[in-house]
Amino acid sequence: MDTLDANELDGNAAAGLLASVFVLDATRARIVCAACGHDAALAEQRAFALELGAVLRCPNCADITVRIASTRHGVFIDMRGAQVVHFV
Amino acid sequence: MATSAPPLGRRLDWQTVRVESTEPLGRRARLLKLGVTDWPGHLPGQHADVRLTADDGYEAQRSYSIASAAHEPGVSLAVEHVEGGEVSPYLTTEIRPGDAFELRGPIGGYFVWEAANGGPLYLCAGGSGIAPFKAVLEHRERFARGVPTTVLYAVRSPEHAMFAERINALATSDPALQIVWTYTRAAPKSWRGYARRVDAAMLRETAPRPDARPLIYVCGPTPFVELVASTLVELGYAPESIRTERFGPSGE
Repeated sequence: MDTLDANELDGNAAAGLLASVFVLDATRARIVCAACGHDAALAEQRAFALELGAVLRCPNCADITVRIASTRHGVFIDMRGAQVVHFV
Repeated sequence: MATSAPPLGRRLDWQTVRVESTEPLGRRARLLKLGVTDWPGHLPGQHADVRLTADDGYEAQRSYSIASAAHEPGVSLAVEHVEGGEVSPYLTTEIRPGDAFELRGPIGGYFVWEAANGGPLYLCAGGSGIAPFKAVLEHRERFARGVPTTVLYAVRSPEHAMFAERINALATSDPALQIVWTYTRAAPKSWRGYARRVDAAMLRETAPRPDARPLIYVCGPTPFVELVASTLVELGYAPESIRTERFGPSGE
């Protein structure tokens, strides 16, 4: 496991941006990591969040699961790192 | 011919809110009471995003926990002053009643506790991580008084504590609610309680036993949350019983 960065947050930090896109609560959505198969809530993903987006990583293997970018052309969400995103 | 589909549900958008009043929260934080016109109501533990826009168009945004009880009108945010921060120094030292900024919320369903979730409940707060728990405790006081609840609150010193009077008042009238303080930098002279950072012994002594299957919530700066959550797992608590919310660099 790599070292802890105090600037690292969790998926809760991306929740506002996601709530501007999804009607259902994204923090409770389950993310199955495409790399290791670990199943965790979006809120439990490790996150680097900025005003304009966020990078979420698997809490088990640290691979990127979800990337979100908010631009003047809309919100882009890259979920290649997630096998499944399960809204509950 | 294209017609736009009606919205299927409600997506969150920014709204302009006005500060009704502010009050100090310990030495380094401030409580902002906001007048909101378009608010669907929030759940205990939720947060909101604040966006500030400078005259030149530069924007900065941060998330803050909603400290006000969900069943009471209005929205109050607890903002800790972060030295050199882009947002919190303005919110804690410059903003005045009548000033406006943009708010997006309420946000998040993961870090939420409601009466129906039951207990026992174990809440671990580091620094301003107490803010969502203040809303949880007031909800519990109103709707679930009997739920056995322990709060472990790690704070630098008594002067840095937030909502101390309110939280102590809730506990004095309720034998099922226990507040455990630990002062990580400076304790009062006659203090007989914990005066160190949270560690495995402290968690073992204060948390309900693992076989009581407590619901655990941990909120604070990232290193605090990492330490508490991983130690609790080592002590035998089920990872899925532990909910966490991390925030960025703080005074802690």
